[in-house]
Amino acid sequence: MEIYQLLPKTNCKECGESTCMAFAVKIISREHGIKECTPLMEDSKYAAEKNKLLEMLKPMEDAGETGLIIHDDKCFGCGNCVVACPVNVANDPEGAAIGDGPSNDKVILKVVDGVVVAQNVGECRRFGKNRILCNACIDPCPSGAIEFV
Amino acid sequence: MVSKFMIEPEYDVTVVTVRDIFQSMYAGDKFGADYQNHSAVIIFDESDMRKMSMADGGRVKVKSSGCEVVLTARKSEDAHPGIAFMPNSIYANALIEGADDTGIPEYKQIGVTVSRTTNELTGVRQLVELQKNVELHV
Amino acid sequence: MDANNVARVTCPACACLCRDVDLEFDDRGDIVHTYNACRKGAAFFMGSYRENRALPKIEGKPVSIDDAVKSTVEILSNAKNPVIFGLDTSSLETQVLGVGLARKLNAAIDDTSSLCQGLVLERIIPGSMKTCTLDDVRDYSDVMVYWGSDPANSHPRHMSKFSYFPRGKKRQKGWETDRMPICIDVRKSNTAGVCKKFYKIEPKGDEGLINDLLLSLDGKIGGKEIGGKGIDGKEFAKLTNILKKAEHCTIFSGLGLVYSLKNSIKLFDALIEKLNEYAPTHVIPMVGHYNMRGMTQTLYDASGYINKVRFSDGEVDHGSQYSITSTLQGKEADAALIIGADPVSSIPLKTSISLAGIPTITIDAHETPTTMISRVVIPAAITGIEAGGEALRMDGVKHELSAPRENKEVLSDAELLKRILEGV
Ligand code: SF4
Ligand code: SF4
Ligand code: SF4
Ligand code: SF4
Repeated sequence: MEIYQLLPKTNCKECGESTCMAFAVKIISREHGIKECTPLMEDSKYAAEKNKLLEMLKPMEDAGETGLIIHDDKCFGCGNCVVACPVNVANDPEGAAIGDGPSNDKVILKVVDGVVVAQNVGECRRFGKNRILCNACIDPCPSGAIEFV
Repeated sequence: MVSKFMIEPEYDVTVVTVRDIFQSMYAGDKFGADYQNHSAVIIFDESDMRKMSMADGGRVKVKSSGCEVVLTARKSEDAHPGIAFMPNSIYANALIEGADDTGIPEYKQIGVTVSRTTNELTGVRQLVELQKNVELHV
Repeated sequence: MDANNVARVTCPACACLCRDVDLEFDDRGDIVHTYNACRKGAAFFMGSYRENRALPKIEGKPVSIDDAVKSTVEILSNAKNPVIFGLDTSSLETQVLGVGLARKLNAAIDDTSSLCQGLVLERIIPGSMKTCTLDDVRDYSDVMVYWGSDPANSHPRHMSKFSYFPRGKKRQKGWETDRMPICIDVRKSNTAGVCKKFYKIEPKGDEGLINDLLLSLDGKIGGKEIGGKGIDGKEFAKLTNILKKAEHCTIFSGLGLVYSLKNSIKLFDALIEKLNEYAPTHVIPMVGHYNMRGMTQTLYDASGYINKVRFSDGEVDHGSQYSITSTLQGKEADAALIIGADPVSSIPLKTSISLAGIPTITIDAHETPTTMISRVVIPAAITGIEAGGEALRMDGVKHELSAPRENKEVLSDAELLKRILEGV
């Protein structure tokens, strides 16, 4: 709703949607990126709204397609998520699955410089056709550093 | 007019020492700002903070029988009225009495009084200097 | 990461001694990235060797290392009641030298264990309390109790590497079904937040809880009768049941537990004994400094006691009067040698400050509040980065330490102790 309020609300259809409201909904579902609203991006009279929206949506952009965000200022680097993630376990039975640092590059989560980083997020169980609401990296996290948006 | 010498009310709390990963990260440089900022901290129960009209991030004077330090007050995410937590560091050890005949000091139950203050945080160096002068001139 | 610039090392930033840490170096040999180490380990490897290094000093004035060592030898040789304290962050080899020095000097020797896990270690090391290794925990434990301990903050990878999340021989199904982690603490710590059960007790409530457990294990009390303030009767019954039915239970004793039982540790003995009538129950002390287990073992091997020892002409005396706090409170010591420890920060300041009144020598890699008040400061290499050796993990398993960044400008504490031993 907040997103809609900040859009030009002219229903000009440049984004390919018939209304600004429809566009706002698809921003949330990640089917559109905010930059596809050309009037907002280009017309200077929307500058304030544009900046606000860009800032508001930054976490979503950072999170990429799965919506995974890591607050690395909070992360302990404990590796609980690394060892608990079912994809890590399946892809690295000799490393992450038994508590060690990942032994190959097929894992999603690993710890670099004392904080967790995500890669191969396309493999995450929250993503793709058979997505499920996996919480196996969130529940074991002692610091609340992992979030899905 | 509010006098600047107005006496701040004092409250009794029991301090329990705990571990904090962010503080321990900086233990290589105990005079560094990061270590001091993560050590000179006392974490209060939220209702206690309201009662004492203390703000998260405000400064408090914490006093035990022999020592007085100025720390940053922090709000706890958990409820524990009457109890406050401090990371284990020179600040907690400044407030503690010596050990009884087991040789083990009372790290899990330090009785202190706290009050608001506008004074600067006590520095690690300052704390040692003060005590050292006491020791060398008795 | 570029494989040419990477080394696998053991992390000595806590007593988990993780052996799967990779360091990446730049062309100058500086450590620029760490892989797999937690936040604490990463800070240790990337920060500790660069900053705040100690320099050789006598009474605050810069001197050569040779002069600092010479002055140390003089002070120690002239002392009647010297005390040696520390060695928990030194290698086993250094610890043996330190104990040898205490013997040669007729000194009292103690380490940080006398202020923390000593009570449990003096049961574990001689074998009077049942224990196991962290590898056993990973392979077999279905019930793990973090009692007064908060590994998320103190031993960050403890739960991921050993005690909760990994798959093990008998624990193949995964943490969701295989493990029952329980936290007992006075506050909802970060560890409590991820455990499946959390029992919040009052400060010093441990004693009451143990008493109640002893009764309820035998079915003598149950339901609403449970004291243990704050713990609901039904939940308490569940706890009793979980402990009773465990296939392999491990209790990780933390400082919260040790401190509140300092006058009633026998109660804990009784509980472990009683639990073992029902289920194999082990205790592993959550030792802080990475080689405190090693120091207590080394001193035990040499004297029959894990800490608080006084040597006199080959004889050994032991007792709380030789704990660092007692020696300093009683002002009996007339010289002190501190090795890799910072008592001014880590024991009550009113006690430790009396080090300022006697000739104190501190061997440390860093400037600390203790070096600030020491008559002699001798810089040492950082074990685990600049000097190697061996250490005992919290469960007593021996690991090789690494020296990925040898530094010829500073001597290791082992080399320093050898030189002091030759002199005295
Ligand atoms: S391009 Fe922008 S203004 Fe036009 S319909 Fe889409 S959202 Fe609305
Ligand atoms: S949501 Fe599940 S699959 Fe995705 S990263 Fe987290 S634990 Fe792994
Ligand atoms: S579980 Fe949480 S704190 Fe631990 S490494 Fe993962 S994100 Fe960081
Ligand atoms: S858990 Fe301990 S040993 Fe392992 S990486 Fe962290 S600080 Fe180092």
